[in-house]
Amino acid sequence: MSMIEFSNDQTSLNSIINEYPSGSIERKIILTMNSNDKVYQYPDLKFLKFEINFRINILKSAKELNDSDLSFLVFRKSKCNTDFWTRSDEGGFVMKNSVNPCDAIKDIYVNGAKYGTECSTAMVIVYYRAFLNIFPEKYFNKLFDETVLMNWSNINFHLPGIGLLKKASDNLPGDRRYFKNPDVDPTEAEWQGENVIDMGDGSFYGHGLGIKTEEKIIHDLNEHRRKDATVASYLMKETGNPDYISLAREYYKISDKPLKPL
Amino acid sequence: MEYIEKNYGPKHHNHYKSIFEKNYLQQGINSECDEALDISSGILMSIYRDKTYLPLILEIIFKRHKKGLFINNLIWAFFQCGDPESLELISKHLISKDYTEHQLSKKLLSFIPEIKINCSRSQKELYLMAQNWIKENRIFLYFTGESFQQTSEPKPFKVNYFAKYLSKPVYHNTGKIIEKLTAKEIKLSEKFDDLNDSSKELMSKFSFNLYTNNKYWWTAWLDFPFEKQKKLAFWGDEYD
Repeated sequence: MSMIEFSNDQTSLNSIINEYPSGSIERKIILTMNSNDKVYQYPDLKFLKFEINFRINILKSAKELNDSDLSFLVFRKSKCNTDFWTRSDEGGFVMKNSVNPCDAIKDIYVNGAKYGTECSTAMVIVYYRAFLNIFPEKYFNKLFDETVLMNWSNINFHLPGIGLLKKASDNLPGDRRYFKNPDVDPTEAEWQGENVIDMGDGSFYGHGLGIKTEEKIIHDLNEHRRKDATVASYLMKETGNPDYISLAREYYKISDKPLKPL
Repeated sequence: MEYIEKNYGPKHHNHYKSIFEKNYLQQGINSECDEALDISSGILMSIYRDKTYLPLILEIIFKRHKKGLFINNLIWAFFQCGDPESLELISKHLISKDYTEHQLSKKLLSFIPEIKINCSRSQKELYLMAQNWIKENRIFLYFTGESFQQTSEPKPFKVNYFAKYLSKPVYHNTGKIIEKLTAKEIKLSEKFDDLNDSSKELMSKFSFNLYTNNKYWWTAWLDFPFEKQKKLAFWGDEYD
């Protein structure tokens, strides 16, 4: 029995798989979904395609953010480009009313050197950018005109679920994961853990650490443990994701066009 | 914070207490003082588990929150003591006349069923619900370490449902049952583990209520085969 099911579509899984090149991340996503006991249910094929596309855009946005000059700074010392954002007393970034939300998000990628924040905020930026890659700019500007970037708080209603980690039976490229560092040195609380994006090739993007393997991230986090530490850092099994089905509904409500090419 | 050493031996406990106390008196003067407070709180809680500082740390959290200042590291430090006493202290702020204080206490306790950020219950009702939940689960709670860095809805404590089912207290830091389990209890644990999460919760709740109301019946119920226990516990409810 297929582990990917469509309520209103009789499309065979083979025909979907064959749409993507052998060895591609897209194919890996479908094959992983199909090789597990968990049943992935979609109203029809285009919902699955939307999720695959969004996941690919998460990977793209994560890689681009890693390549940008965005620095790692704790909230107390965070910084942002004041042409687009106001730094709050908490250390978050509040979007200015006078700017286009899409320009404000893009600016983080273009003028990264003017920004510095912690790993959780970087994840949120990745999600915004992925959303922007898929949805029309006009629509993005309408939805995200009151954006605040600060860890998992103040998450926009239109990106439901991104702040949550849930039990997962498998891990897919584009999942948000969390490395926990239970014995962190309390003078460096920012290293209590690392939010990452699963890049799908055995590596993870975590802001401040870069794109690295699980072993290397664990090694890096372990360097920030207290002297008498007994517990090593570890990668949690839970995963975080936007609610892809509701995002796809939003997308197909406003657009009959096929998804933007990558 | 270069002047805060990283020497966490027992004889340095007083050193960190004095850093905290000095900066507590100077809080808000500058960012350095506030950062020193965050760090010394983290050390006092995660290294020394010094619960005597919990009320002061919580007071600073609410004070800063009212001013819209940074509180995440202090919240992290506060929960690092890993003791459910922290929950009792927060719950008292559910009946605060100050709206921001009430809202923050709801947010921090929103992992407790029925305490939700947007719920419309009165402050008194919420307070009583929180108190009852803490009282019922206190000895079965364990610290998870979840924080606002990790998730938008951290659950800093979870209930060990099997421990609640057996009415046996756990270590708050690991969640392990303190008492050594008998062979019969180990067998029961295997069956209990096969239940889904909501069934575990139901079963433990039933056991707790029976234990509280009538220990004789509770002992008799626990002696039944597991399937019969389930039938009695879930009478009227669907179960797996």
